[in-house]
Amino acid sequence: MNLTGVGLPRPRRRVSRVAASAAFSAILMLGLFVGVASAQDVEGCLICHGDPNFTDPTPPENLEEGEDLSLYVDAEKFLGSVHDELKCSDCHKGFLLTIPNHQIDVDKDFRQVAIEACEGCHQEAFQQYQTSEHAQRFYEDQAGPICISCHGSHAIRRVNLGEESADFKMSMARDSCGQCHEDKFEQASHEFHFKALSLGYERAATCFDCHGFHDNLALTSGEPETVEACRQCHPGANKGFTYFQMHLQEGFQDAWWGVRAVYYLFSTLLVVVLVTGIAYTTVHFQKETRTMLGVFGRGAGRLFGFIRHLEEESVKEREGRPNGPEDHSNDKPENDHRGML
Amino acid sequence: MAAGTDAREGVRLVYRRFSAFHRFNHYLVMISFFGLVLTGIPLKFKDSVWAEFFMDLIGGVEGAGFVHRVMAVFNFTYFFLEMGYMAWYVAARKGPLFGPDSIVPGKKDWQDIKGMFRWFLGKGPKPRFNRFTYWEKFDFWSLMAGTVLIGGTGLMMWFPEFTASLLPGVSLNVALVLHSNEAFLATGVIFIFVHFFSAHGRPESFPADEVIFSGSLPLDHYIADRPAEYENRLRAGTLDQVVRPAPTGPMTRVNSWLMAIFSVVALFAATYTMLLVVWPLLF
Repeated sequence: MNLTGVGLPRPRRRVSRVAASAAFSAILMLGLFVGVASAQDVEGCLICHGDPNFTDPTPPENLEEGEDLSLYVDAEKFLGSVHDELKCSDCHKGFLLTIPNHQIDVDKDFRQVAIEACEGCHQEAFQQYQTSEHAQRFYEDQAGPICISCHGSHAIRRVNLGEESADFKMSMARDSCGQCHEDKFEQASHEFHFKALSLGYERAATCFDCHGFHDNLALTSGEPETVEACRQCHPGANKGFTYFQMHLQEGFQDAWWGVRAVYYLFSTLLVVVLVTGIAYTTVHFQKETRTMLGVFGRGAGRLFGFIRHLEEESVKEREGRPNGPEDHSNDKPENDHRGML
Repeated sequence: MAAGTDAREGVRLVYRRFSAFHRFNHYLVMISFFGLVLTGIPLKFKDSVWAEFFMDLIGGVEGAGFVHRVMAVFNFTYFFLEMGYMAWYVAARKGPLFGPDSIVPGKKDWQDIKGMFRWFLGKGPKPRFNRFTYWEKFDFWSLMAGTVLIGGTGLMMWFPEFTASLLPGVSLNVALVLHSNEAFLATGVIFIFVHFFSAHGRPESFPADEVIFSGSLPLDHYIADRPAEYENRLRAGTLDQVVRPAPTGPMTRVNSWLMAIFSVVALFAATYTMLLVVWPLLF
């Protein structure tokens, strides 16, 4: 509206620029607070948290000198996640929408807050998690992983159980399980199931297909729960079946001695047969070729001699044929060539 | 023109080396071998760039698995046909098991090997071979032994639950190691360096030895190649069992077309297989 007054004569009473700017800022700040308070949602929070350089102004004490705690949330990733319709405050419970230091109970560990946030909606998964070794270790000394350790927080993907692509299963296993169980992941990737999965076979098992995803079991050969795990895909599996070694190093150093013995035996055999095979073949065919071409001359002359021989052979064969109409028509030019050779 | 061709070939004599039965078996070996290698090797070298591409081309892991099993059945077929034939050969007393014409290795093969090395060093003439040379026998028996090993371990993994009902599960680990290493041995070594070079890659038969497709070869080639068998037959008067006029008629044409198609395809497949095998060794 003010803009319409641009062309009019200025008001007599002048306000200083400083005062005007202060008033403007005050209105803006007020607007911001009112906006955040009333919106209580994503846009409001992202005013500050959408800035990639936004760090905690009052960093926790355990942070090292010069290190910043980023409080940035990638809006695009969040709005592309399965929780895109939730508000920030749906999970970040117990926050006051004031600036700074939103949390009421600042002493409460953020992991506890996070766990409770997930439990709010995912009770079944939460109950399963309680029975896992992961949960045990978390409640003992907070060393075990919680929901967000595997699922992430702001970019949680939608999971359609049983309908996932091989790529998705593979990346879930790598990004979640593989973070901590690097060695097991590496070992499994040499194994048949993972190989098939990485070549696009989505029915092949990955970590959580055997170990479960919330009640993660450590599976031991011969145990009933291991038999159950195998039976999901191999209904006829018995106790003996579970003695298959799933996680082995690439050179089989940690495998059963029988596997190792066969592996070393065959590797040796392979090298021996390969070396003797190549050596023998080379000698045999060098000799045979030399002998075959040897009658046609020496050195490079052999090759020309051999070509001349082939030429003569073909001419001889053509001449040996009984008279046919097409033979006669071809005779003359061929004979001319022979004369040149 | 057709009459003229017949008249001309009617006078040509050929040596009959392989019966239709053996040629059929060779086709089975060819088809199943390439089928098995091309569907199995991508799984062994899944990190190679071509593995995923090739898997998608043949219908993913599921499609490849299906083709692999069909080809395995072909593999068992030729194995049991050949073993059955040999059993019948012995039972019906078609010929002696350890004679000069036999595929069974004997003393003469050891002498031939020694003679061959003398020839390599220029210290003697080339040995005079019987019906089967020592490298052909090696080729044949390594294929048969490999089929038992690779087929047995393949069956173990095809029916893992049944295997586990007889043996502990770790036997499947052993089976996988055996299967995969034997496959590599058979492909990379026996096939490429023994069979492909010695049977088809020799200067006089390159790019493919016709005899396994047509069943016969010109008489003069036979006399030069297998002098010992020729002399034996000449002495015993049994030359007429194997020497006959060159075959004529429509089947000859079908055979030569089949041969042309198969040998071109096989040459490409063999080159490709070699590439697949050599690739992971280099990178």
